[in-house]
Amino acid sequence: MVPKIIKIQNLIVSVKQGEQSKNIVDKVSLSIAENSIVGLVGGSGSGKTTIGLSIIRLLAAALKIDGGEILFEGYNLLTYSGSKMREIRGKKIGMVFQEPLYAFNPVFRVGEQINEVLRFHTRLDVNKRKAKVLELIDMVGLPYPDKIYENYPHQLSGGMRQRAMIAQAIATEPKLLIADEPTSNLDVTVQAKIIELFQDLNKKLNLSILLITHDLGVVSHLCDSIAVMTNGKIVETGKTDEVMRSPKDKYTEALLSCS
Amino acid sequence: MNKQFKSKSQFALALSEFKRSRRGIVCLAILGILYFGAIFADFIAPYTYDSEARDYSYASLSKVHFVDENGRFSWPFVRELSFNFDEYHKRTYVEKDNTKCYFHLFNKGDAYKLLGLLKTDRHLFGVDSPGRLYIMGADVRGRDIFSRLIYGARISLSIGLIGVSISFTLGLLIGGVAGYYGGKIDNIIMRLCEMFMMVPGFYLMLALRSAVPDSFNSFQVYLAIVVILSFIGWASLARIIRGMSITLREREYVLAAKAAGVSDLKIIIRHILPHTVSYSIVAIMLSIPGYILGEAALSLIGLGIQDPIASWGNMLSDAMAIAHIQMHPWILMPGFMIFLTVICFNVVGDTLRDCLDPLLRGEVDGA
Ligand SMILES: Nc1ncnc2c1ncn2[C@@H]1O[C@H](COP(=O)(O)OP(=O)(O)OP(=O)(O)O)[C@@H](O)[C@H]1O
Ligand SMILES: [Mg+2]
Repeated sequence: MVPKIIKIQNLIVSVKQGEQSKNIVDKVSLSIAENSIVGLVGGSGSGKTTIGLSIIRLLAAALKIDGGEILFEGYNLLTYSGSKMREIRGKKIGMVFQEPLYAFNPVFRVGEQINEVLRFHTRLDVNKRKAKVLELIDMVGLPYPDKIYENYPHQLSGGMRQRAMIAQAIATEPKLLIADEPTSNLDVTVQAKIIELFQDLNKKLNLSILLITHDLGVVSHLCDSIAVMTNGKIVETGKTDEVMRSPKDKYTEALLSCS
Repeated sequence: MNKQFKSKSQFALALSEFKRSRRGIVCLAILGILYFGAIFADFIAPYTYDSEARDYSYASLSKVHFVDENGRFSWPFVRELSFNFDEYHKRTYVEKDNTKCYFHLFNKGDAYKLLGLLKTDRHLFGVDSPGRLYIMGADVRGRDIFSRLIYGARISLSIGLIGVSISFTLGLLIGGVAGYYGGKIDNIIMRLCEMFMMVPGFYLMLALRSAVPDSFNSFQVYLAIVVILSFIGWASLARIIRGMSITLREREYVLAAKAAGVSDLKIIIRHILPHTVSYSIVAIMLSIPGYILGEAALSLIGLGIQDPIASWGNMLSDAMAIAHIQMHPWILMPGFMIFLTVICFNVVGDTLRDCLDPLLRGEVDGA
């Protein structure tokens, strides 16, 4: 059996609504093999983002993890203290958010913000950090890294910001990247570039990726395996082409027939 | 490119807006002159703050002569004075004939160290001794009010700046922390703020002042006063920053910074507080007068800076008796200086607010 980078078991996340609480993630189990790309698909509101945020323990205050465990490299992240978790975040697990349009602070230059992550997690000196940032910007396929470095976020287009965000997330060479809808809102050509970029990163950096999306096209291009989710539950998992060819669950079937 | 142009000019825009306000520019210039004077006080003042001349107690403004006794134009000079008493035992001064104390630029006077480095005895202007030049009159001990005003500016003007920097550091950090963490921490901090805001500032100031030991020297008293004043100022700022920080912490980039493993304090300093800057600049300008007035009030009632060190407040304590003001109105000068400074800070603050307003609106739109 292939070793797993992350293993989620029976994860329950609930939200308090007045007196009663409702499970928005209900006993979800999901694992990602080392060096693989897993697609998490499902309709809007099915709880995909919630799972992603649970892994790095950054759920909104109203949401609470009520049970289960998240094993990362064999250790349960849910038992980690705040400062230990901070070392995991950014350094070992990177995250690209669903709306990266606002993911950069408008008052600082893009390069500086990527640089900040390196300053936090590595011991590189000033010059090496800058060189590394330029290399990262180049790696995600942005033109003229020097210029992008000096730009403010609003000077980049949405797609450029998305890629800059990816550059920031992989700056410290994490083991796992959680990419939440990295291709929605983007036109097809940029989408194709990002797919290519992910394949590249997966091969070059041995990066495992949890790709959260509702776009089955992207999944079929990119993912080794796939998990289908609806109403807070995972209804089907398997190798991408197998699931695509012969779905066992009704919901998966419906999803496939729509796209 | 268009976008770039726009972004670069946001603060530039505020600046050019400011330049268009004549009131703002004039007041900023006056403040500039006052602070310049305070920095180079030793050089600009003809006398040191404690240079006494008992024979010249409450001497009025010196009469500068341009014409000598033969009716010819002459290099300006003043005459020495002697005094008699009138029926109310008030001194009346008369000029001694045949004494000429010429006016000089870069006059030789008391020795001092310019900026604490350069040893010299030159002053910007002055007259030959034993004459005394009083361009704003003298106080009870014959000390030059103009010189003392300039030395006093050092204390009165610096207290505002230092006080504001301490209380703003406190207010920004405490407010930022309260808003960012929310919950219990927020609750405790806010109740604490309210406690400070509930007690009337002046009484709190007196209470804190009474805790300062008598054995303190004047520099220690100065520091104590700064600390006391900053202690009163931080609470109201902290409340407002907390409010801003509550909305700012929900921004995506804060979540992104967290996901990148950045520590909370770093996030507060880098990602939350910079967005309160437009507000803070205005608030700083508008709150400096409070510190200047606070020091003046303490010194006026004798609890602040002690004679012979000059501050505008303790100079003004001379003017507490109406009879004194009637006989020597020039002892009100420090009051006028306080008035001028406070007005200038208020106008500059107001102008800045008007200029930065579009930026503040931009913040609300969530740029
Ligand atoms: N802060 C919150 N407070 C209350 N309910 C929340 C909160 N965040 C999410 N939810 C609820 O949790 C459920 C799952 O949300 P989630 O964001 O994980 O969905 P998603 O699968 O990412 O959807 P999408 O594809 O639209 O991004 C939704 O029903 C939503 O209403
Ligand atoms: Mg989502």
